[in-house]
Amino acid sequence: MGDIGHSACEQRRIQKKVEELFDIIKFDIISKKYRSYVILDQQSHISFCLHSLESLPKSVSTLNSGEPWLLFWLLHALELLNYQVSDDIKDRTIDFISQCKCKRTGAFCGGPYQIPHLAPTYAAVSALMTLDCDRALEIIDRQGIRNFILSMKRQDVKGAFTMHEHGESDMRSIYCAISVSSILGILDEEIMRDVPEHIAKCQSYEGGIGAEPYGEAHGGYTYCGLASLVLMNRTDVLDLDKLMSWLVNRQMSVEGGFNGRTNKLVDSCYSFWVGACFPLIKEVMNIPTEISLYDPLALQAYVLVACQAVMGLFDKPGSSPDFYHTAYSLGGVSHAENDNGPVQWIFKEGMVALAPNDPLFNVVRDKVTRARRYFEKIPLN
Amino acid sequence: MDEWVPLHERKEWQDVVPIPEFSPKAPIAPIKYSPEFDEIMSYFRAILQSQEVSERAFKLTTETVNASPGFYTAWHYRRFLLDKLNISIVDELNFLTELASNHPKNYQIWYYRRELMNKLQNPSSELEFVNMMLEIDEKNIHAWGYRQWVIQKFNLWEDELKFTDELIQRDPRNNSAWSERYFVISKTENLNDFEVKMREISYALNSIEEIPANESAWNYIRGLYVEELSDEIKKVMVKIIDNKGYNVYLLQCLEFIYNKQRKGDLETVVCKLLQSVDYIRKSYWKWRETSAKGKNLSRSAIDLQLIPMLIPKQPFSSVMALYYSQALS
Ligand SMILES: [Zn+2]
Repeated sequence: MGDIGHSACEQRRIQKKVEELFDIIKFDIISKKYRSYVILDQQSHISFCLHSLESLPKSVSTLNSGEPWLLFWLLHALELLNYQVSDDIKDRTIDFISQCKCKRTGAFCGGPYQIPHLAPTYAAVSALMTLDCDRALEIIDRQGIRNFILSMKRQDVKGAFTMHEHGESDMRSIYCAISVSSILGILDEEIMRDVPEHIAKCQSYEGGIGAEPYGEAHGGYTYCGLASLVLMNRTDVLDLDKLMSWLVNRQMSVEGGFNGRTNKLVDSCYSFWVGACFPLIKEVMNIPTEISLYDPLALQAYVLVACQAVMGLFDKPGSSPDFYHTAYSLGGVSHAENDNGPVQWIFKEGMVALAPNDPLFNVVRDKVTRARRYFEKIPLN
Repeated sequence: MDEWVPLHERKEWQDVVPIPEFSPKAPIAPIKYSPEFDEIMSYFRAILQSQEVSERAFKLTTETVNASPGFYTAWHYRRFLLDKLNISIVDELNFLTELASNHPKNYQIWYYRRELMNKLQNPSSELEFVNMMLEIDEKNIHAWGYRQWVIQKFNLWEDELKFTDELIQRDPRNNSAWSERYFVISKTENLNDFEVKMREISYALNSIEEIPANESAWNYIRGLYVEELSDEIKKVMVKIIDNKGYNVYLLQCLEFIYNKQRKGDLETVVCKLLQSVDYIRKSYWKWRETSAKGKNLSRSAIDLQLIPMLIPKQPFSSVMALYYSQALS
């Protein structure tokens, strides 16, 4: 069939690669039948993360501007894989993250000697939550973080935050500010002022949410916007029908995975960004858990069959594994297993039960509960 | 390129004591930096700590962000020095342009550029720069974000609609171009004006007639939809189904229209069909069907033409046959 444009060519190329992989095991995405199965290689992915916690090659040097992220991705992936990290790893992580704390503000930085930034603050708090112990949560300076978040509120754009002094400002910075405030129990009127209205302005004509008003609807920004609104209990500002229709169309009918924007290619990290929006929107719209609004088995098939390296996971066939895609694709699989009534696996013979993930914070559920309880009982001074 | 001379061998750096990386006895996820990388960072930490304002400090930030382009602390310090040292904004823009082509998705480069533009107040080469970046990746979301910002800030609307048209002609599935088109229309015309809506919906329908299964174009139509244009859209649907058959995006749009028109029985028919053809979203359409509660039983002539065309290609059950016969009555 005659068709034009770069997008169509690229789409066909990736689609074919995934089809070939499905074909090896004779997997049919409609009937979900298969001849042989693929296991989630739990042990290898665990080794990948554990090795990385001990030593990293110079090829990842540029991650030095976001070291708390690195720790969060690795620790979160391990938790999802049901691996309990040792006390030694916990202590070393706490020591290091303490060094990332800004002495002046109390917020976290991308690494020691850097300036405070909302994204590593989110990542550091999430990594500490993942460690699941009081001595990790103790190092968090709530009052300092609250003041820092307030100082990042923009004067020129109501309801927006900058990531750091003179830094960029988009939907990510909103999510970092709101989610950190929420888990630390410091989310109040002052922080929330004008934020829901600003997020509403970023909902595009397609239904998804963009980085800024009139930005293109995007899976990552949509998650950030929706999760922030749920945390503020203000989803009323969105057109939910439109959002839902955009979300469901992110699932690719041949590949089974999600893309992040209309007519873009499948990418495993959206297994979380888009996948975690479903439990949120279901809750808001009072849709029973058992009703699934996407095809969770097809999503699992994509990640398991098309995104596993010998160690770690990657975004799409042809790529190399990285920590971010390892954590976010596993997060998406956890949601696909756990969010739609009784736990379900695409390949029952090779099933691995991933730890249930919290869709609002992207931290394993029971760690979130622990952190909430911890901060509830300590008064803000 | 000249050979890189280690900082400790450079005469002008002799007086500075580098600050080594924080390395505890029991490290976690330590990165094995190359000696060059490590040294640049160590000297940067030293000037950051002493808050040195100097030409050499500025040059060192160049080396630092070249080594690690996302290293926002060095960008932040560079901005500070830019003001203190009265560095030429144009030179700085050129530096960013060069770096951007190697790191097109770097947040700092794009936002720093906004700050520089705020200072320079002359965007004459900016669209050309963005065009170059879109040449590398026509869907680069950072490039589009900056483009929208600069257009809005300096009123560069004049050729923008034409630009989106060119991109859409070249690749009708370039959703960023459709999104830009919506932005331009919203900001330069009255979106409540019926004529504007009609023109834009026709634009998308024309594109759809050539490439019917293009989600971007259908989303554009849904974004601009008004009741008065429903028949126009349905007419094109009939034509497309006649020539090329239906596709899931066409059916989704029809479901959307029937939902807006509160024609619950017709919406149900489309939901049923979508459950079999849009199989990956089968459970969504099943749920959607349960919420199709509109009581509007009126049918336009074009509805009567459309509905018989929606019969599934595969044999369907007697329950579905009943639905179709009811919908047609
Ligand atoms: Zn990705």
